[in-house]
This record gives sequence, C-alpha cells and structure tokens, in this order.
Amino acid sequence: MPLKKRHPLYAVLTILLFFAVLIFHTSDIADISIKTATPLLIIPLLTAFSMFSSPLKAAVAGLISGACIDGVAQKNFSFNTVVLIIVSVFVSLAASNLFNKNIRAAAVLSLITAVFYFVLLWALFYAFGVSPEQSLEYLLKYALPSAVYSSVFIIPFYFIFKHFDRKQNQ
Amino acid sequence: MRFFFRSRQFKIILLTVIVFIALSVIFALIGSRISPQADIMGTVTAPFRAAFTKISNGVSDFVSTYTAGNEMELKNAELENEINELRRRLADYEQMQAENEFYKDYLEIKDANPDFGFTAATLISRDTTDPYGGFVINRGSLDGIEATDPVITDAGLVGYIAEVGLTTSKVATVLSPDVVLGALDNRTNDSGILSGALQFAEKGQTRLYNLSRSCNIAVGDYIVTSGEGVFPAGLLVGTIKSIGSDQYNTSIYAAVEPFADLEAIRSVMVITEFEGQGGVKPGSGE
Repeated sequence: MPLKKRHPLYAVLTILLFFAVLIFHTSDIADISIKTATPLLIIPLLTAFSMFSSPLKAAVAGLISGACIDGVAQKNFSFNTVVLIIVSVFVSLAASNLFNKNIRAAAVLSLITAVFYFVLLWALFYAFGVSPEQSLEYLLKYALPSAVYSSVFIIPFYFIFKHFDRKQNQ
Repeated sequence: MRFFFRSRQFKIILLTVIVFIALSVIFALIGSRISPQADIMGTVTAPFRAAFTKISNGVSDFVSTYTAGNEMELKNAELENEINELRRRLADYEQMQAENEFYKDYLEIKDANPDFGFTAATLISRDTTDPYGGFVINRGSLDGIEATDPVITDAGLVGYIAEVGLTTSKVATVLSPDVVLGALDNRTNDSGILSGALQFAEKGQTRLYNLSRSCNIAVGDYIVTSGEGVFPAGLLVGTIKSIGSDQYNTSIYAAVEPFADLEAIRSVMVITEFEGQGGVKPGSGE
C-alpha cells in the first residue's frame, strides 16, 4: 500500500462527517424514514471510509461509532461496537484484496454489511423474544427494508471518501 | 490477506473484539446497565446530542410559530407590527407558562401521591431505529436513577428506565414488548397485562391482554396501572381504542393509545421513590 500524505484537513472533515451522521442518527433533526424503513447512515459511511483505510484505522472508526450508537440504542449492550468493528475490518480487507475500489464494489459491500448488521440485530434481539409472527414481521417489514435503504446512502459517501483519498494521494 | 491475519494489527483487533464480546455477555447477564464504552461515549456526546435536540426543537417551534404568524398577518395586515411584538411577548409568556404548567401538573401528581420522589429529566436523543420509540434522557445513576424506575409525563405513563449509565439513561416505552405491567380498566376494574407488540407500536398503541372473556371493557375507557410489577398503582396509561380477541378465542385484548404523546416528548419525570417500590422486574413475553 502506498504511503499516504498526512492531510489534517481531510482528517478533520472525516471526523466532522462521522460526528454529523451520529448526531443525525440520535436526534430528531429530520426524519428520512420511508414507511417502516429507517436507514442507519453509519453503515454506508463506515463502509465508504473503510474502503479507503487500513484495517486498524477502520477498526478504530468502527469502535468509536459503535460505542456512540450503543450509547443510545435500546438493549443492545455492546452489539454495535462489536459488529461495527467486524464490519469495518471486513470492508477494509475486502476492498483491498477482493474488490476494486469502484462504486459497484462499494454498493455490494454496503448491501452486504447492512444486511449483515440488520439480520444479526434481528437474530439476537428480536427473533426469539416475541412470537414467530412478530419476529418475521420485524425481519421483513423493518430489518430488510432498512438494510436496503441504508445501503443506498453509500453513493454520496463513496464519492466523498474517494475524493478525500485522491486528494491525499496527490 | 494471509499476512494480515498473522500481523500484530489483526491480533489487536481480535483482542478488542473478544473483550467487547465478553463485555456484551457480562452486561447481558447483569442487565439494566449501559456497557462501559457506551457509557463513556454517551457521557462525552450527551451535551452535543442535547444541544442538537434543542436546536431541532427550536426549529420546529419556529416553523409552527411562523406558519401561525402568516395566517394572522393575512387577517390583520394593518396590525402586523403590533401582532409581531405581541407574539414575541406571548411566546415568552407561553414558554414560562408551559414550564409552570409542567411543574404544576407534576405537583398535582406529587400532592396526590406524597410517597413519590421525582427527578426531572430532558430527552437528549432517540434511537431512530427502535420501532418502539425508545429514547435517552440526561439523568443517570449519579442523579439517583435506577433501572426499572417508572417514567411519566403530566399526561401519563411513558415507560421505565431500561438501562442506566452514569449521566444518561435509556427509557423503554410502553409500546415495547420489554415493558410488561399489570393494568386495569378504571371504570370496570377488569385487569390484564399491558405490554407492547410490533403491530400495535406502528399505530402508536400498546395492548392490554389476558382479559377475561366476561369483562366489560369498552372503547374510550381509561387504563391505569394496577400496582403489580415495578409501577405504582393508579398511574394513567391511556385510553382503549379498539377491542379484539386472541387467536385461540380464549381471551380479550384491547388496543390502548397512551395519553403521553411519545413522539413529541421533550421532558419527563422519573419516579425514583414510591411506596411498594421494588416489585417484580418486568420481563418480556406473554
């Protein structure tokens, strides 16, 4: 991997972007839900960031984001911290070893990670605590549509981080 | 990639993941406590979240005031300046009045229940992916809040404290299946179990189930807590919107719309003390 120049401006912009998404997730600023599909913007953001980062950097971003989400998530203990670390390391490795760093790869990785997150969330916290009908309803009506909707947001995030990466490599 | 799995980086990441999985298991077993890393991040980000929630509330207030102002201007163009001035004064007055009402309403609850101990709290963030409308308040164990403390507004019951951190707490609402409480019809005294379900939460309702087939409940009846579980008796919960029978036709259930407007909540009171506190901890399931 070629050594990247240290560029504090892009580091600051990245932190601000993460901060903005986390605030957006935890406040009532705007509701972008479509019926029962509620996007979790941190997943495509982490996916895009991890595609252009080393596994360790991606893991740190996953850890901090996950801890912030765990601070507001209902009954999730350390679920977000663990899953977001795994997701970001997976994306970082997959992007540098299995995929090209293009928008198609970003879309696929974003969909994989979003589906992984929401299905795991369903399996651990919603699948067994309620009746089978309610469990299935959550999966089909909330989890999967939210996963698909979340992954749509990879498009702007991918181009932002691609731009940052290009600038840092100039 | 093979090199990565043998690298020091991978070992550090793996160790971190194992530590957090262990923490997950420990905190799942202990329950009712926010995990340490989430507590730290929650405490660090709480002021920012509170500030942004305030901004968000301010923007929505401004928009509604402005919309109302436009209507007034159309009707009273010649009094525009006067109205604006009066509106500004009115906004200040209403804000003060709302604050007074807020505390007065709680004072009435306090007068009716002298054994209640209250802690006022403000909503600082919501879990936007939680279909049951759970949220976080700006009070934690340092303020004397404990897990399962009831949370109310002047309108009625909101839920209970699901997890406590040092300076923040997570509230599970009555729409959630995790909140299970004994409740009864205020008119007929028919009792049942009140707990949320996904299909009811979508409509902003919870359900009262396990009601006898011979019960006399009716649409419009008020539901109050019966005192079984972790909630004190007599707290207003909501009103019956519809009645149905379960899939085996053995008992009746009622869809209950909470009196507290769970989507518009900004401030709540946590009941930290009441007579008979420390009942059975609510569990999930029917």
